[in-house]
Amino acid sequence: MSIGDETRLRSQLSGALDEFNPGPLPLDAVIRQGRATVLRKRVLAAVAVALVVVAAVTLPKLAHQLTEPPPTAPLRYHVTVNPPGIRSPKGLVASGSVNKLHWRAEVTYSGGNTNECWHLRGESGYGCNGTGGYTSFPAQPVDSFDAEGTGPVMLVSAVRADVRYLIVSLTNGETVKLLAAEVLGARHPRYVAIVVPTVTSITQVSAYSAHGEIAYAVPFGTRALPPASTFNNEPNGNGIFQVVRWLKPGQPAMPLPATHRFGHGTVDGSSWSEYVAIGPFGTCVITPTSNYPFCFPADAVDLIRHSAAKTLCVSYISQRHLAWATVVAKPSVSYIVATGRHGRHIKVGLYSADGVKFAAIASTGWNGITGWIAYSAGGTALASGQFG
Amino acid sequence: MNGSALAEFSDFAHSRWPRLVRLGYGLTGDRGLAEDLAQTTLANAYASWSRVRKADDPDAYMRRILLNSYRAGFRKRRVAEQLSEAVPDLAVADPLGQHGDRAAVLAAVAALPPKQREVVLLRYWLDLTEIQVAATLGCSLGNVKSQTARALAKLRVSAELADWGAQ
Repeated sequence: MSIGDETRLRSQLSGALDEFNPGPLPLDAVIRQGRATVLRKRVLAAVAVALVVVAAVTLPKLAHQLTEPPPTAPLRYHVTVNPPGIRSPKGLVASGSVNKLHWRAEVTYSGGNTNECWHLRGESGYGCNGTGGYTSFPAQPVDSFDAEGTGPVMLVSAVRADVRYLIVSLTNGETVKLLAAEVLGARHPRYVAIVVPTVTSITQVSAYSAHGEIAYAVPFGTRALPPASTFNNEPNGNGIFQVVRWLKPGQPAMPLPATHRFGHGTVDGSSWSEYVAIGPFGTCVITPTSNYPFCFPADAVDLIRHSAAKTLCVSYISQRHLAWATVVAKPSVSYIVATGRHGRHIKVGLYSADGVKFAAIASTGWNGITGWIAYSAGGTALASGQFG
Repeated sequence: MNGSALAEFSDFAHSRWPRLVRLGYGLTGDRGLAEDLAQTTLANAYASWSRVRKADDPDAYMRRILLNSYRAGFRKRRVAEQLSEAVPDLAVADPLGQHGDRAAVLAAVAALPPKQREVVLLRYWLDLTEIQVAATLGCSLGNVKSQTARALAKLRVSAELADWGAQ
């Protein structure tokens, strides 16, 4: 063979690759994965924080205090948050301590983007996320109050224009006031920041305007997510903290938190499970593919108002041609039939929780499931959906 | 990320997706891996959007992210074959023989060592200059030249392209 002609190589490569037609861009998955990347950076920062604590061998008491105690042990820790002062450096949102371990949080703005950074014990440039954003005022009282990790975690977020401060309630019984700091000027949102010992340290967040309480939230927080499956690329040991649903002042924090496993099975020899956590924080679905749950700021019954059933969320492992669809249905739905190629049908059971029903449908390269039909007890098709 | 930044990123992602997948396909030879690689690249771009949008050449930035992702993990992955109940797409006639040529050139490139594969794709598919290839791969110009020469030498004797010269 002769390949002395580089032009021919160019032409053949161009023909081969330019003719290759990729599938559609999975933008939602890209954004979700990007968000997870941001969170992973925060986890790394939290792990680094934990390492600093472990390194403090000369202060074993401090290390002990920062380690999460067993659930039955008294919750002994102390959190302080201080607003920036007149002589504070530009961009400082807040500073404080967790069991005498000092931290400070800063936000900078450049070229239309903000950059959140946090520093621990004078470590320069430590924990910047560099994601940009937050150049407009958020619609929720607090924009993105979420964190993932096993050790101390920092929460930094922009707040809505009318929010002047937050009151954060902790599991040790303390309440901490977070003043919203105007760090980037009046054209930008104010920011709040806090460091807590673990993702489960916060029991409630209340937002206040100059005239009083606006809203409050009970976060979805768990020490570690249930073992969803062996498909996860990431360990399941990390805890998670998320605020997605805000309640009106005086509105009862209902329903009581509960977690249900509504689907499980085996694919390619690996077991999987899907869970739904329902509580005053909203409704969170934990799928087999991700540590990060799909959280919805609504009661379960509010997820399914206008049809008998609908696809609530879908998670993918595209490399293995696997997908899990979560279907939420009204009580009138008796069973669901998953539909695939070549007329393949699989009957899927429903799990009742909090006035609605949930179904987990696994789609594999083998079964080719791409849709579902919801039936009443009498066999009447009530709704259908596609998720392929 | 606020609404306008998200819209900007969305436009960017849609415009870059096909080329990223194709580069991933050239590197991995697998559609699923290529799409995962492109998805990971765009997700990393999302996480560093402020840097990407301010970069002098966002496409060069994206290429570097994709190659770093590929080197970091995708190269080491092995995809187990799965039995399928469906018959693959039926073969169709290829009167000009172009499909065979193109498949052959991809197979030949896939058989190259990873670094040489990267050089060939950047140099001969993306038409980058040797200096641009060196900047993308983070190596010297001399290294690009030597890798290119070795890659071409391998392609000249590759079994996949054995019948090229006869046409």
